[in-house]
Amino acid sequence: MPDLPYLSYLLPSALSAASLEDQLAARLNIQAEATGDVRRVYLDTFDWRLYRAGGVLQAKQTDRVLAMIWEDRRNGQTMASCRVTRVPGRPAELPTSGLREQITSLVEMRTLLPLAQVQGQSRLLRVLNDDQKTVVRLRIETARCRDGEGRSVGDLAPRLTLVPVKGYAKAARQLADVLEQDLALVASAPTRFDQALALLGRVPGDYSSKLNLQLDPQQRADEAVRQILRHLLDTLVANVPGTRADLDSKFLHDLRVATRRTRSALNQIKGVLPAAIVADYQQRFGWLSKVTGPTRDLDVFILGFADYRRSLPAELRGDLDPLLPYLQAHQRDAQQVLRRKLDSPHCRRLLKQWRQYLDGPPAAAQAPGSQAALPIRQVASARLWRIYQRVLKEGRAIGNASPAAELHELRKSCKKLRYLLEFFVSLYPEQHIKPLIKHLKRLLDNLGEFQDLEVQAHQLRAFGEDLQRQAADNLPVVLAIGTLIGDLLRRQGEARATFSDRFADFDDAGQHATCRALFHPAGEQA
Amino acid sequence: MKILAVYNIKGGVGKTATSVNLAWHAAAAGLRTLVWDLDPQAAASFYFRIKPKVKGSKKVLKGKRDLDEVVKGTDFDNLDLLPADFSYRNMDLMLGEAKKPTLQLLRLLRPLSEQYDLVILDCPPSISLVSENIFRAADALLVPTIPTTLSLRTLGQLLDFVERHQLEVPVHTFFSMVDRRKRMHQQVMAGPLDGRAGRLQAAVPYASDVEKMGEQRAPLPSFARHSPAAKAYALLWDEVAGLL
Repeated sequence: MPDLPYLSYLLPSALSAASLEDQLAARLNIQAEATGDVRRVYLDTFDWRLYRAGGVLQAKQTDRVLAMIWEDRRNGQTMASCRVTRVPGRPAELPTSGLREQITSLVEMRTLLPLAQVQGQSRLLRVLNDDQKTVVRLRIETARCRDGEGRSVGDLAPRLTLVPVKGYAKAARQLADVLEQDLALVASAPTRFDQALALLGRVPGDYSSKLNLQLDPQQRADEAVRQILRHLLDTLVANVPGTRADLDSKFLHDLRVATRRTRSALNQIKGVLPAAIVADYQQRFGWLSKVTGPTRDLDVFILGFADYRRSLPAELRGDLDPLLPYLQAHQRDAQQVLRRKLDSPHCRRLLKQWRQYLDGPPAAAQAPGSQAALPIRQVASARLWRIYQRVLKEGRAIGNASPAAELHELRKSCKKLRYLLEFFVSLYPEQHIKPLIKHLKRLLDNLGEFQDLEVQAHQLRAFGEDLQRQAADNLPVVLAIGTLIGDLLRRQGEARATFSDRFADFDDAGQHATCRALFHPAGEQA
Repeated sequence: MKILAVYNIKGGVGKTATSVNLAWHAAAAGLRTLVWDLDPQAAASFYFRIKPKVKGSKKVLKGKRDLDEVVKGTDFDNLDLLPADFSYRNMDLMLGEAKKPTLQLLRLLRPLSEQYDLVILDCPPSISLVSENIFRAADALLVPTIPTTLSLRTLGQLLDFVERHQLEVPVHTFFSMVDRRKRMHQQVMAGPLDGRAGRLQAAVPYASDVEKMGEQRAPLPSFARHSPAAKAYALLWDEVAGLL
């Protein structure tokens, strides 16, 4: 007989917990345990990684025990749990356990943020069999909900949870029957976390770093472009507080991607917004890219440190260790500068004025671009076709002996194409556009590796020179860095060698025909 | 998943009390724990108020049902029990008929490896095909030893067996049912121990509290947490947790 899942019920206001207990005691052999205080803090990353993975992570404080519990969101069953001494901010702060293993790969570099707190009282009823053995449990919980900072927002409806005991499915079904048939309760309560989020006015998944734009092909180009830019600005602004506080490196990463996409949209979708606006914000968002760069560069080295270390021969790994505190110290300095820049009137003004522009009516004083009134699909197709052809032309011109600069140029064009495709993906049939994006990403990975490994090698060299200047006994770490540089340059060479194959995959006759049909002005009319 | 076998060739040395109390500590520490009551006397099942009869246990042995389907939840979080129904005789017969009999126990346990962090085997006394299976499946053998000359001799026999069959399982022992008023107990505990076994420091006293487990039908720390015997089991768990 399969075990019953956990069942949850909300107690209607007409039925008190005491009267419920009396009614159950009249029908079943019930033993009640003392009432205890329970405080639960629900945690997730800023981008809801745990929720999206179908789980709920909570820190549950009862009596003197604080435990982390990782539950299946659909049936409330515990997938893993472990005791802790304080609520962790990162999976690495958890003791070695199945729970840590399960959530580490989901959370990655992100911080766990307290999203909601639920504090109240829990009473456990046990249903016993003739041997006085517990065969099913019923938990009754009343609770007040608080937000992540602890501000009270209201009471949750009292909740019953039927907790089956493995191997005693019949008893669980009996209790469920009493609750559902005799007491007319309905077993479909939302999870406590969902209840709390609803009270807090939060929608799970309300932030994602992915672009998810739905455009109408017939929409005026200027309206569509504003829609894209508003979405990017929302993402950018949402990441400012986490970047300021340096909660984790992904905030800054997402902020930079939103900035880069904004610049790309301004630059690539030509003739739609007034030229003066484009030039002005192009320059101002360029400033934002520039001031956020140094911190991100150091973040990348810190995130990649474990991999760098692993790539070294075993006897050199320990020698590399002093590089980490060096990087962290520089990251802290860069972060301080970055925070000042984000707090500066210059930055605040930029975000405020950009919002005003995007939300405001098209200013009559500024001449709109010549394409502003055209349907967005027409504008998008023309631009995509042009950049697609540029990518083909530049890529086909690259031979085995071509200088690195030509690959760098191709990478820039590919990035432009990728951003345009991401902005306009909803305008085209998914089955045609998705494979194109996939091939382009593969090509970009190759070009990115070729360029980034070289940049990293140069930066590592600068770190090594600096460490050597600082102290003579830094020689081992400098030598380890040297070995690392050698390895990076070797991998860079490999990336260069595979370029022609990757490009050939992209430069495919079938795909070419698809692009022509999708983007070519004549193709669209046909 | 780690497998700890609590074993002694001799009966009545406190094996089941050890299995049950260690399982309680493991579960309280957050490990998803399963006790497999392999002893036909079914004492572990009794302590947890679980009926030893299981419908369809022969099908499990024949591989037609998963072990998981006959597992029972105890009254404690994270702590489940596999009741003692595979009467020992059935088990030995099944193992005798199967190919590679010494790997059959592992085959049965494999589907549970995702669900449990720790499996404690409460083993029947004596040496048989079942025990050989246990020695091959376990990550460690824990042998409760009463501090008497005769018990030391039995420990030596077990270690001989392990050596003779080239089994790689580490054997750890601790003193159980210790009566400090008895001179022999004092002498044995002060003396040397067979060097092939790891010696744990915890020593569980002979105590009426342990016998009360049968009356209460519950693990000792759940009803007499501060008794000397309960404290000894807590210490033993700390040591065992360190070994696993």
